[in-house]
Amino acid sequence: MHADPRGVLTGVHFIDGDHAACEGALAAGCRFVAGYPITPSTEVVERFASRIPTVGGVFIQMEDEIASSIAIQGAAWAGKKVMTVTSGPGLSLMMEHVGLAAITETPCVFVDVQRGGPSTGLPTLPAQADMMQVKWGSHGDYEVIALSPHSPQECFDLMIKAFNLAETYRVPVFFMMDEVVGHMTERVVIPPAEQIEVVERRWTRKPPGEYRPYDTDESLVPEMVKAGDGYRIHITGLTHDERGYPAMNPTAQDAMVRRICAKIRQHAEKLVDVRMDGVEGAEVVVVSYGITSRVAGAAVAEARRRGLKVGHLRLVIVWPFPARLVRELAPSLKAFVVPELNMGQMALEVERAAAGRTRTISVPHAGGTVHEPEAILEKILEAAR
Amino acid sequence: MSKTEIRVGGLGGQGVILSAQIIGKAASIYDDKEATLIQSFGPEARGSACSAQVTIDTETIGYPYVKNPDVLVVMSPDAYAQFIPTLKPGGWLLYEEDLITLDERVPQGVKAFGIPATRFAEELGRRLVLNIVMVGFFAGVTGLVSYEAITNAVKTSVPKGTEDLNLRALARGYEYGCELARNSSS
Amino acid sequence: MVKLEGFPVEVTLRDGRSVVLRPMTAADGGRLLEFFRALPEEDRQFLKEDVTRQEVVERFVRELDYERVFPLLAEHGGTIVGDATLHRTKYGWSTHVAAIRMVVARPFQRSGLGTALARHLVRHAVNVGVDKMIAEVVDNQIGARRAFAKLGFYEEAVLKGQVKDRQGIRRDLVIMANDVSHLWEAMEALVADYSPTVGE
Repeated sequence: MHADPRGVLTGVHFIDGDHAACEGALAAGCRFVAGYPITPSTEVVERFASRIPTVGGVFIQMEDEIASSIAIQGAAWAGKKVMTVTSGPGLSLMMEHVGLAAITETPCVFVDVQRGGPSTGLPTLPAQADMMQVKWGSHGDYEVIALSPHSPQECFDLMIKAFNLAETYRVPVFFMMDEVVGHMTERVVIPPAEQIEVVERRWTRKPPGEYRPYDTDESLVPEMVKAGDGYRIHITGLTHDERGYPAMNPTAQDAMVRRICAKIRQHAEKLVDVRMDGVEGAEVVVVSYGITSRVAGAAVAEARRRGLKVGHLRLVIVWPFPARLVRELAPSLKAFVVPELNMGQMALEVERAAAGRTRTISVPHAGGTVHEPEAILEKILEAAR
Repeated sequence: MSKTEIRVGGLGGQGVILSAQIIGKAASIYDDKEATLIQSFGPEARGSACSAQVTIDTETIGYPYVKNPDVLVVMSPDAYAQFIPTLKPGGWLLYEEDLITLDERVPQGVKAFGIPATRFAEELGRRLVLNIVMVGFFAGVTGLVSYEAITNAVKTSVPKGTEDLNLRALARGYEYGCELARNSSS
Repeated sequence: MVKLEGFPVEVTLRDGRSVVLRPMTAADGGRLLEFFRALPEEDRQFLKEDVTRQEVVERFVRELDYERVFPLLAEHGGTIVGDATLHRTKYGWSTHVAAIRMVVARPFQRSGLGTALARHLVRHAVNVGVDKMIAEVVDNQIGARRAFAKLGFYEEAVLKGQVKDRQGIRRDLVIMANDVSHLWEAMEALVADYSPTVGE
């Protein structure tokens, strides 16, 4: 269905990634945000707060990120599309509630505008060092979806996709921005509302009494209800059965955990979103995401100018990781080169997926600024030898 | 036209970021080009150095940083000192001539153009339109954005009610820039 | 020399008549005198001088200085039908304030001409960097008070019994003010060049 025109700021804008992300959320139908200010993400919620008098919706500045990450889940069960916005230190605080969102299958979007870490780190400078955290940060077994935009335009476009994925799969979805993309200003085209497709929540048609919150069909995604509709439901973070009631036994645990993991793993192929350039017939493939992909592009271009056959694989959906794609590319390559603003995180996934069929060369960076294109080029040349 | 890299530098409070935003907006929204803007702030509220990097291109911009600008616009002596070594030889240097004195650090072949932008702004009635004067000057000297584009960008970037004065500041800088550019080529 | 943006400007009134608003020039002396002489006395009373006297108007022409007094005339078919002036001081503690005075010929009153004159004069005032404008209206000049209110003026002060009308009845003089410094504060915020979110 189409986006609600009230939330769509149709036009051509010159704005930064944080602002574009806010507009993307509004266009997607997000009408409840709870957050706590943290550099470099604060502009996203500031803009949201200033837009809602016109668009409608609620913004609450909570007392901390722990409260923010649970307030949004309450609002989700009240029927809203919801989001919270933070950076590394806040994300760490939210981890317990990420697990809750996963086990209760609450659709919600977590925006992480990554900055230098660990701990308080470098508040005003970029990094991409939370990539593993969003996948593994909470305890237990669960699956999430994570996207990585590389421009303000993508901050708008992919935000809509993030909300759509949250509704389709009923998982927490992570929007992995970084300080550069967040504060970089470029042209953002926002189309008319009729051209924006949004996914509506799968509301059940079953009447109260017949509806069971965690009954599923072959999609493995259950239908949802909202508070006030007259359903008596129990939603808990304890291991539960299809009725949603606690069922603390190995059988229920097995059924529940396997399903919430399979919910994503089974659809892994549908959840591949990459941009490939010159990968066909390449001898070296650079794998990158977010702001690093723009720097890597310059390195790839220079390598090609020197006669090397270099491909560029940009991850748009980072989790689930496109393992099959990487595994199939591996045998024909001399190496993957993986530059990231961290000490080697997605490089581990590339290496795992390549399963020894080719080398994986990490181009790590402690963060604080972006790579020099020359540093990436050097590794490409090394890979091509 | 290939990629053009611009660095704008000055003191916080001079409108450095606003002027870079207007240039970027003019290029990307009204002149149908691509533009990327990245800004750097000093930690203090006012009076500390700040600068902006604008890249303009006819094609999609990949690497968004400006190391060695083709055009350097400076409004304070600190910005001049900090960035003059990075200016490409043969590039453009646009500077506030009442605040900055050029010296031997200007690279070879650089086309330097000065404007008493603060004085012009005060003559027009408001000192704080100095950055708009510089933007007009930039357009007039370099021709990298069209006058129509920069006019539209100014109109949509300043608070409602202040457009008239800002547009006069733009025109002032533009005419001065065109004149200097004309005289230097003849 | 102040460059005058946006003048002359053509305005269509509520009844469809068209007038041209333009700054006064030295050539307007004769027509201005005719305009003043055609005004009924009660419409001239707010002025500080007897503008029906030729030497007074001649002095206006001689001392024309847009930076001190900016006179905006409304012209219809070659005749002056309205006169609005913006008064500033170049010295002293109120150089940031300008006063607006206005008079419209009877046949053109209640047609929107006063509002149009005031609107363009306010625009010019903001244009030349004025922070605040005031207009003095007598308490029973309902039309004028409404017109200024529409332009964002509010009643700031009342000088009781300040004015004596032609019947000798004392009336209150209402000072209406329009403080536009917030526009320039908004611009100041734009050029502030600092990131409000720097920190933790």
